[in-house]
Amino acid sequence: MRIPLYSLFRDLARIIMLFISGEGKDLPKVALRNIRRNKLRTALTISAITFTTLVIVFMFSVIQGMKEDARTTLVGFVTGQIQIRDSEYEKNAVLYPLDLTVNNYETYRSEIEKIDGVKTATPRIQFGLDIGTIAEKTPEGLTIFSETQKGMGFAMDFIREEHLSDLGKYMAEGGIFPQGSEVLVGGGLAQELDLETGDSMIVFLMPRGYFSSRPVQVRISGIVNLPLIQINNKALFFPLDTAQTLLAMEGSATQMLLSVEENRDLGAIIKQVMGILTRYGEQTLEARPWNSIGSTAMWLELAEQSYNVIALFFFVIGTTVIVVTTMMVIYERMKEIGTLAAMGMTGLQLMVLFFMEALFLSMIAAGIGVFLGIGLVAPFSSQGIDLNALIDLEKTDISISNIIYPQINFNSTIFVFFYSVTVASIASLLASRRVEEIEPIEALSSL
Amino acid sequence: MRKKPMVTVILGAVFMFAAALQVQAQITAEEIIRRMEANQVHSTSKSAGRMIITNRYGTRTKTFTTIARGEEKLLLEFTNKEERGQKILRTGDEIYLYYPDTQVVLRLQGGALKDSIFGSDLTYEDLTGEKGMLSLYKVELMESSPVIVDNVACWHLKLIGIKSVAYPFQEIWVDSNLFVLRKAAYYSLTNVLLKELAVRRIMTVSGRNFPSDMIMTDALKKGSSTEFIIESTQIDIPLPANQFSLERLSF
Repeated sequence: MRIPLYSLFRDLARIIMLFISGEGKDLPKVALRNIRRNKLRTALTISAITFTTLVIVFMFSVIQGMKEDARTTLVGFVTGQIQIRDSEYEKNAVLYPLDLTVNNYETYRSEIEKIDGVKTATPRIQFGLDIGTIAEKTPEGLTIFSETQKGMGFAMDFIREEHLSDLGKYMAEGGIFPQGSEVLVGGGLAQELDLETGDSMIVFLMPRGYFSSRPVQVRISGIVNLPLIQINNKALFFPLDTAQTLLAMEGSATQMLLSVEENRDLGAIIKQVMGILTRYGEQTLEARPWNSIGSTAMWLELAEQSYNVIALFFFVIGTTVIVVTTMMVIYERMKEIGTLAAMGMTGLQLMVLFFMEALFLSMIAAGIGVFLGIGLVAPFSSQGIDLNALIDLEKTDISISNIIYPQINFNSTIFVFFYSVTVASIASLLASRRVEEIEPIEALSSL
Repeated sequence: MRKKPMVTVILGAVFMFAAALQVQAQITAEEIIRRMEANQVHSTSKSAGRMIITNRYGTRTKTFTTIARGEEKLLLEFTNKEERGQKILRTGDEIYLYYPDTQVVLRLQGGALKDSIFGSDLTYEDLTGEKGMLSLYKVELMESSPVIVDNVACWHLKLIGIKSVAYPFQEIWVDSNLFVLRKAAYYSLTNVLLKELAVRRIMTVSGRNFPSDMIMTDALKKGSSTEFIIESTQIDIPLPANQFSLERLSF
């Protein structure tokens, strides 16, 4: 069946003309009476559209939560809202360069933290390391490692990181931030190497200015289950001062991450940060917003596109349910249509009658669906949904948190309401167009 | 004194040149390698030297001592401040790194052998597999007579790996008088130039000649080079039987 768009508009124009001419003034009343008359049919139709709307509202909220989680995780663990670093760092980031640094950051950090909107400025060092894995002891007391595994090290000020990575929130074991030669280990890595709190391990680090790695013994003070699987499976977290000593980087960091209050103009803050850096003669440093660092923006866009595909999937299913329900309601009422036509109602009036019924029903159902959807999201938005209970995230490459907090997006919720109403109305219009063409005797004999 | 007729002089010169050509034509690529190895591989040796490493991070000098037995056993100990006491032990195809502070030994294998030795242009793989070039490579003479390399007449040879080796193809230039390596180029399986080695000085100890100052450059890394300098060497010295064992590492 070809349904040119212009014919839909033509039908809508005819409906409007019908009301203007006064011939359709009683039709809304008749439509409402029809809705009330067959309570079972009305209940079933409303249920189908309500359920579909509810599911779409809920899924949109989950997806919105996932998008928000991806952004928060990325900002917290990787970029900060603004990052200060050497302008050459990005080109060499895969090598974890320790020679491209933010030096003497303590001299200007307090000034940066005084900028309106900046919550904290916290230094970090990211570095590559090898973790000694399979080991044996010799009678002479030597520990022989026959294998190492590549890992990544993060050195941070755990207290200042509260507004960024906030590792305390992810602590699975231990519960104490490391000090001295202690480290926190990502949950995935701990599981892979069968490590527990209190265990010691040997890691090989290459200090700045050295051309060779050297082994360091560290003790695990806690295990953190992190939302970014790539970090969870590879990372060790060192106290900043310890790492600065081990890496010969006293007073230096590879990045300084800024945590900024919500809805602040990052561009304006960056301008002020650059002013401070220039005043302190830090000509090689740059300050960049989170979405222009590395491939973060691209990564996030990719994640959003994946989530949009999931959303589209639910949308298509929802649309199908609404269309099928609405059309079936009309097709199963052919005898009634024949009776009404035999009583003198014109084809256009019949079409408008069914259109009005669908419009009223869908408005009621979509309203209830949106209302119930918001009600369903509310408890989950505070308690979260444990995705681990649904899928084994450890076996996937998806970089999302174990627990997702659905979020109602006002615009998308309004959109879902109008979408449900529009789909139901158009579906009824398409079905009822046939009503206009059939003869009463044909309709009466169809059942 | 009667002057020799010109014809006799010319004939004499031609004869001598032909005789020289005959000698050169008789030497084979395998013989060149054997003579070079007889010079460069010692039953035992003890050396001290330094490595000057230049890469994107700057230049660093590492000093070291080495003790070796034949081609297969080597113990290198760093003596510079940063790596003092760290050792590299090679026994056959096994490589061990020893770290004195933590009494940790790292046995290198697989992909780890491809790692750079302390940021230099040498890899641990370069230390392994030298059980005699002729057991690892098929050798061919590239020219029928010596070629001049840095004012020195050298045999130009091509080496084609017949076993699993770090460099499937090599070109080497061997001093045709001293039978010492003068230059080398190392290629991948796809014939991409990986590294080049130039010998800058030759040392003679107990009548044996061997390179004592070499510079290796990585063709795939811009501005990267490693100078390897042997400052002193003793050869054919007595060594304890367990010199190249793990228990000796912590001595």
